[in-house]
Amino acid sequence: MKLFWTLTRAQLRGLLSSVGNSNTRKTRPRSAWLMLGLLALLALYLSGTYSFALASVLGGTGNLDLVLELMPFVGAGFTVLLGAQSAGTFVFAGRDNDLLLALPIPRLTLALAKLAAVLLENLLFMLCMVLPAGLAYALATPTPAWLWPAEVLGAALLALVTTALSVALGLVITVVNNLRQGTTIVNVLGMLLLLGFVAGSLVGQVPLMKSLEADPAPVRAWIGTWTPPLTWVRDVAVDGSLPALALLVLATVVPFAGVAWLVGRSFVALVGQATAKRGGVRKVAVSSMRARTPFVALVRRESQRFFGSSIYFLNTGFGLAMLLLGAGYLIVIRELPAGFAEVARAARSAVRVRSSTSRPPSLSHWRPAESRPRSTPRRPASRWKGSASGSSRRPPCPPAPCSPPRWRSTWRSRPPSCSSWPSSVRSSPTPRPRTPPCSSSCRSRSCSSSPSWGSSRTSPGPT
Amino acid sequence: MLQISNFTKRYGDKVAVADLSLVVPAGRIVGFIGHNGAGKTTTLRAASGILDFSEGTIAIDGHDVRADPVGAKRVTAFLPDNPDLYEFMSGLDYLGFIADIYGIDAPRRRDLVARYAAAYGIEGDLGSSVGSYSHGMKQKLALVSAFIRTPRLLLLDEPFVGLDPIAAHTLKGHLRTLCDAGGAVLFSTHILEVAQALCDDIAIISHGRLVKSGPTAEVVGDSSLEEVFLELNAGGQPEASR
Repeated sequence: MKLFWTLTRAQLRGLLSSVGNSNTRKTRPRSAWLMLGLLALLALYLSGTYSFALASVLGGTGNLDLVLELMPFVGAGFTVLLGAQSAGTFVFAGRDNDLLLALPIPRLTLALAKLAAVLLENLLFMLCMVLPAGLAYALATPTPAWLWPAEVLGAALLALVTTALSVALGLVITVVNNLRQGTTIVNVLGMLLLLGFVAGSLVGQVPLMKSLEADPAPVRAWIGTWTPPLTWVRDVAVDGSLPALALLVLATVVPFAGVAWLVGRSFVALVGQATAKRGGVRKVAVSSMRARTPFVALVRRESQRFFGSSIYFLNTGFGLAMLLLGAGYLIVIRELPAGFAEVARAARSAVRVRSSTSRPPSLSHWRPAESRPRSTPRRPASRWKGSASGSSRRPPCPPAPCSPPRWRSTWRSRPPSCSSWPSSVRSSPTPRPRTPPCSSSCRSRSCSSSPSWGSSRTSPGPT
Repeated sequence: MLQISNFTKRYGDKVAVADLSLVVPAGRIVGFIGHNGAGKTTTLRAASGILDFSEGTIAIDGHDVRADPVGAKRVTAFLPDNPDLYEFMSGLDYLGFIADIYGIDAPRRRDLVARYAAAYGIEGDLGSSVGSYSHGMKQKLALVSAFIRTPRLLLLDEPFVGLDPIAAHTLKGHLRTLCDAGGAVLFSTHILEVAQALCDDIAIISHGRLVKSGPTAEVVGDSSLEEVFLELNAGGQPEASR
């Protein structure tokens, strides 16, 4: 057992150090904890938002307890996907595998230690998903005393089964990653599938909410049929059902133990198979070499890296890939999916509403001076500063004559575009009275020659 | 101490090592020599239990590597050519981790760590994280971690790469001490002068097959090890086997 804890501690530290995003290795552990905390907070926030939204919808139909099944379902999906990455990286393609396999450690202990690290990561995210759902449920209805222990136990047991699935998926990912030929295409397709799943889930929220509002029974029946452990979690948490607890333990512990035993039994073979480079040796002829200019050589190198690295490709070519995919889809299917159509309609109507108003969206609280109550202090002109790109969000002013802006004694030159200012203003370095740059009557007109406030160092603009 | 019998390793259709048989007796330093991709690392990794294989047997101190891997590894220390140590640990943490795995008690581990760390000149760096170490320092740390296990068999893959002359000299002394105490060493190297000067026995591997082995004096004869090696590999550099 001591050996197991020693190993698990090392694995966890390894997992954490890979999460950290620090450049220096000394600060990486701190950065890792910070990153993990931020991820957990994000998960809590998202889970809380969806839990309370679902609870408000389901509460109206008398199916509030369904939130205790739906959020673990989301959590299970995410932990399987996240855990698969960790399992691929740490269990089968771990950099420390050579070191550990050369040490006198029983293979089952080694496999369990590696799985334990993935399990703890999955447990953290599962708790972040399950606990806000419990809170949303508990705030809306009287709850039994065993709700919270049952929720925590449910999360732990569900983490076991998601870890087992993660490990199986991680093995596939590792094998695919080590395919020498066509790796990038397979990786990119895999990542696109994952992103498509996430996008589909986001788009599917609206129809799901509507169907839940109308009749949650089909959703409940679907979960009960295809993911019964989630129903058992609900049964344990709400009804305190002991048979459901027994079934839950059986359905989660047995797969985990099975996977741990299988991985432990053939860990060396699995690691060897998963990380072995496949594909034949590519025969090349030296005579095929050609001379190129340095520019072409650099472009070729970059393009090889671009198409050879799935991360690089996705980071930089994802938009183009989605554009092509979307175009291909529309050519073949000829209409948007229902969820996308709904989202697109909503987005279009939002754009229409915005374009019908003359104010920029960030200044929606702004009102013309005429409609402002007298007690409201006038917004100083300096609040509207031009952006870095030179576009100004200040209300439009006429091209001429312009009132000079409030002057700063430190100005060394006047703003470049207001050549029509009186010469007294142009020559005077002394502060001017607090005059707004434009009269209130001309705010609705555009002013092409308005100075770009705050965008010039020599003309820092009014304060 | 180490007995390899009819060991064969395949990567798909490619045969990396074919029907290799080699014995490393106790008290002997054996040099394992071959061109790049000849199968040296594959053999060492299989002997250390990292690599699975289906044909042949490998036994260490009477423990079959496949049937009793923990027993075999308990008396072995393997040092790969590019040791991948835990970079998030400090040097002392890493040595503590290894000592924990081998169940070395506190007074003994303190004594061993102090002795070997001083010998390789890294006692002042044990508090720093391994990630900040140079390649040579990592190599030294890996060597210290190997020696504190007091192994009976030491398997080393290119141990002199990255070591400064003082550390290389110290390592040679430690290898000889280990063998004098009844242990055995099998190490691969491309530095033929070192192999000829240090090794009691030489094994030359080419294209996955053992082409010559025996006491150094017999293998070398009247010429030098370099001449023997070049003669055995007169066909030129083959393709990499792995």
